[in-house]
Amino acid sequence: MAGIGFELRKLLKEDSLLSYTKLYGYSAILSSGPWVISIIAILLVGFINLANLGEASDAFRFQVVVTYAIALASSLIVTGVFQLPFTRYVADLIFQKRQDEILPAYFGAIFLAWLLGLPFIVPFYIWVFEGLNPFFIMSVVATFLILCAVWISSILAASLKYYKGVVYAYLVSYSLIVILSYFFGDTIEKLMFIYFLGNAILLLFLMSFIIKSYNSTIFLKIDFFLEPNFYWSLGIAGLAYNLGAWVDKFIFWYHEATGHAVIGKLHASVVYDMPIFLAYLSILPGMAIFFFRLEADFADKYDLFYSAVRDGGTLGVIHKYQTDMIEVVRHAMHEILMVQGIVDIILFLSAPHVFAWLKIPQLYLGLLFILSIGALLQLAFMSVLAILHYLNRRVLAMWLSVAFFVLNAVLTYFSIDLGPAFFGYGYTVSLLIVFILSLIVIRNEMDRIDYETFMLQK
Amino acid sequence: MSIKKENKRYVVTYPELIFIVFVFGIILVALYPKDMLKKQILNEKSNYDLSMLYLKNLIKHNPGDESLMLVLANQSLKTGNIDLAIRLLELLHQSKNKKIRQKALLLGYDLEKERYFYIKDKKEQQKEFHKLQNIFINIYYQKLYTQELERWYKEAQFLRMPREEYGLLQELIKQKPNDIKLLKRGYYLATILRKEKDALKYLRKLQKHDKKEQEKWLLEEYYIAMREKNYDRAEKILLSQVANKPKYKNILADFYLYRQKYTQAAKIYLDLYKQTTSKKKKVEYFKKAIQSLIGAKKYHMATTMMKQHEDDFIHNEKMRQFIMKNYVAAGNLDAAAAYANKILQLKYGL
Repeated sequence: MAGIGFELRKLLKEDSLLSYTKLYGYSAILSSGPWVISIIAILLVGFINLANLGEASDAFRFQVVVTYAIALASSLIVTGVFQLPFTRYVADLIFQKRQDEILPAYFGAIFLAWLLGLPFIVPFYIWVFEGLNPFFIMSVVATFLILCAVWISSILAASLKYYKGVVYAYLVSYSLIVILSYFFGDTIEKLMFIYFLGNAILLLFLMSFIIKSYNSTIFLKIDFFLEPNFYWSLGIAGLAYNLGAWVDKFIFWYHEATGHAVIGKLHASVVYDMPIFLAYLSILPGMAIFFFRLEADFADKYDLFYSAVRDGGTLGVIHKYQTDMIEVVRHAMHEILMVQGIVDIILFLSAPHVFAWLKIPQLYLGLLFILSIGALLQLAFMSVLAILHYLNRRVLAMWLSVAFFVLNAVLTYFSIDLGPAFFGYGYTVSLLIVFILSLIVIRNEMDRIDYETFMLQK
Repeated sequence: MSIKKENKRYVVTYPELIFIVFVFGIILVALYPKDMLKKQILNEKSNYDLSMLYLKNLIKHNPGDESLMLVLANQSLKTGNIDLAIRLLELLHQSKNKKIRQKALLLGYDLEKERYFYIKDKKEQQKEFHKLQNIFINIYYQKLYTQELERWYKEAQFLRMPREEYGLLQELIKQKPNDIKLLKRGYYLATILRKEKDALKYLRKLQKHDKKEQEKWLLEEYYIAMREKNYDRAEKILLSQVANKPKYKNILADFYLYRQKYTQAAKIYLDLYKQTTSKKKKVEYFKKAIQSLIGAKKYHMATTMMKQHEDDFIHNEKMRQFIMKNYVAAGNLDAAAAYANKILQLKYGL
C-alpha cells in the first residue's frame, strides 16, 4: 500500500494543525471507511424499517442475519484463512515483478473461497434457518458468496491507486441498499435480496478497479493455495485472530444467562451487542493513527532498513535505520495509547449525558467502559500484529493470535459465570495479556532484527 | 568482535511494561461496576428486558439478596411475567425483614390490580376487587402510603373506600392546604361521612380560596345550618349577604316563611315585588306577600296591601280572582264588593 503512504505524507508537507487534521481524517476514512459505511448503512436500514413498519418490522432479524450469519461466517470460516496468505502472495508477486499473475490469483482466491465455503455453508444455513422460507435461505447463501468475494477484493483493491475509489464504491453501493430498503424492504426476504444486490454492485466496482490495474493472459490460477506459496501460519493467524475477535460475542449470544434466540438458531445478546458496537466505533481515531504510522512512517523506515541490508550499507547505517524503526514503533504505540486514552476519557465523561439524551439505557455504561478499554487494547494488539507481519514473523503472530482466541474464549466464559459485574472483563483482560505478550515479542524481535536478517537468511 | 550500539533503544522497556500493566490494572479495578449496577437497574425504565437479564444474573450470584428479588418481582410485573412475580412475592412475604415485607405488600397490590383488569368473569372480578380492598386496608393501616400519597389516594377512590380516601385526603391537604380540588373533595367526603365540623372547616376554606364559586360555598354553609337547625346562623348568613346580593332576599323571604315569620317574609316579598320589572315575577312576589300575611292572620295588612295594588292586576283575570278570594278570606266583603264593581265597570262599562 505504498501509494497510500505516499499520499498521506504529501498531506504533511505543511506543518500546520489543519494538515494534521486532514491527515488523520484521511487516514480514518481509508482505514475504517468501508466498515463504518457498511455498519451505518445497516443501522439506517434498521431505523428506516422500524419507522415505516413499527412492531411488524423485520429490521432486527435482518441485522442479526447480515452481521452474524453472513459477515461472521464468511470472514471466519473462509476468507479468514485466505486473507493473510493471499496478501502475502500478492506482495511476493509484486516483489518478483510478476504482476501478470495477480489477476488469475485473485480469481483463484474467490473461486477457492466459494468452492471450499459452499459444502459447509449450505447445510449449515439449512440447519440454522430450519423451517424458514427457502427463498430467504437462498438469498442468505448468495449474499455469503458475494461477501466472500467482496472481502478478498477489498484487500486487493485497497492496495491499488484506486483506494479512494474503494471508499466511494462502498458509499454508493450501501447508499443504494438504504434507498432500496426504504422503498421495497418490507419483509426480511426482500431486505436480504436488496443487501445481496447492493453487495453484488460493490463487487463489480471493486473487480473493475482490480481488472483495470493488472494485465493477465490467463483467467484463473490457484497457485497461491498450493505449497510452497501458501503460508499455513498466516492462514491460521488470520483465522485465529478473527475467531478471537468474535468468540466473546458468540459466547454472549449463546450463553443461557446472556443470549436469546432471534431467528432460526441465531442468537443475540441484549446485554453485549450495543456496548461492543459502540466500543468498536470509539477506536476510530486510534485506527487512523495506526494506519498512518504503519503505512507512511513504518513502511518508509522498513524500506530504508532492508535497502541498506540488500545494498551493502555499513553496520552503522543499518543500526541507525533499525533504531529509526524502533522509534517509529515506540512512537506509534505511544500515540495510539495516548490519543485513544483521551478519546476514552471523553467517552467516559460524555456517555452518561449522551445516553440520557438519546434515551439509551444507562445500564449499558459499565459494560461500555470496560469494552472501550478492551477495544483500545485490541487496536494496540492489532498494531503489534501488523508490524510482526511486516517483519515476516508469521509464526509468532500466529501463536499470539491463537493465544488471543483461547484466552478470550476461556476468560469470557468465566467472566459470565462470575456475574454481571464481570461482563466484558474476559475480553479486556485477555487483550491486556496478549498485548503485553505481543509487546515483549516485538521488543525482542526488533532488538534482534539485524542478527535475524543477516544470520537466518536462507 | 562485537560492535556496541550507542544509546540502545527498545520498542518498550521492562519498567514501561510494568507501568502499562499497572495502569490498566488500576483502570479495570476502578471500572468494576458492582455497586453501580444495582442503582442503574433500579433506575432503568426504558428497557425492561435488559434490566431483567441483569437482575436474573445478579440474583443467581446473590441468591439471598431480597432487595434484588424485590426489584426482579417489580420488573417481572412490568414485563408481564406475572407467574415469576407471584413466586417471588410469595417468598418475600415470608421475609424476616419488615421493610421487605412491606414493600412486597405494596407490590402485591400492583400484582392483584393487574389481575383484576385481566379477569373477564364478573364474579371473579368482584372477588379480586375485595382482595384488593383487603390489601389496601393493610397498606393504609400500616401507613405504607407515605412515599406515594397521591397515588394511594387515587387508589382509594378506585376502590370506593371513602373512609380511607378521606384519611389520605387529609394528609394531602396538609401538604397542599389551598388546593381547591382537594378542599372540594374534602368537603364532599366530610359531608357524606357526617363529619360536620370538618365539612364546615373545608367550606370556610373554600369560601376563602375558591373565588369563582364563593357564593355557592356560602349557600352550602346556609344549607348546613338549616340541616343542623341552626336557624340563627342561617339567618345571619343570609342577612350578611342580602344587602349586596338581591338573590339572597328571595332565600331570606323563603327562610322567614319557613320559620313562620310571615310579616318579615311579606315585607321582603313586597320589596322584591317593587324592585322587579318582570310581570311574571311581580305576580309571584305579590302572591307570596299576600299569602304570608294571610298565613300570619294579618288580614288588615293583607287587605290594605291588596287595595294599594289591585289596579296593577286589573287586566289579569287570574290575579283578579286571587285578590277577590283573599278579600273574602280576610273577611273584608266591602273591599270585595268594591273590587267587583271596579271589574264590572272595566269589563262592561256598567
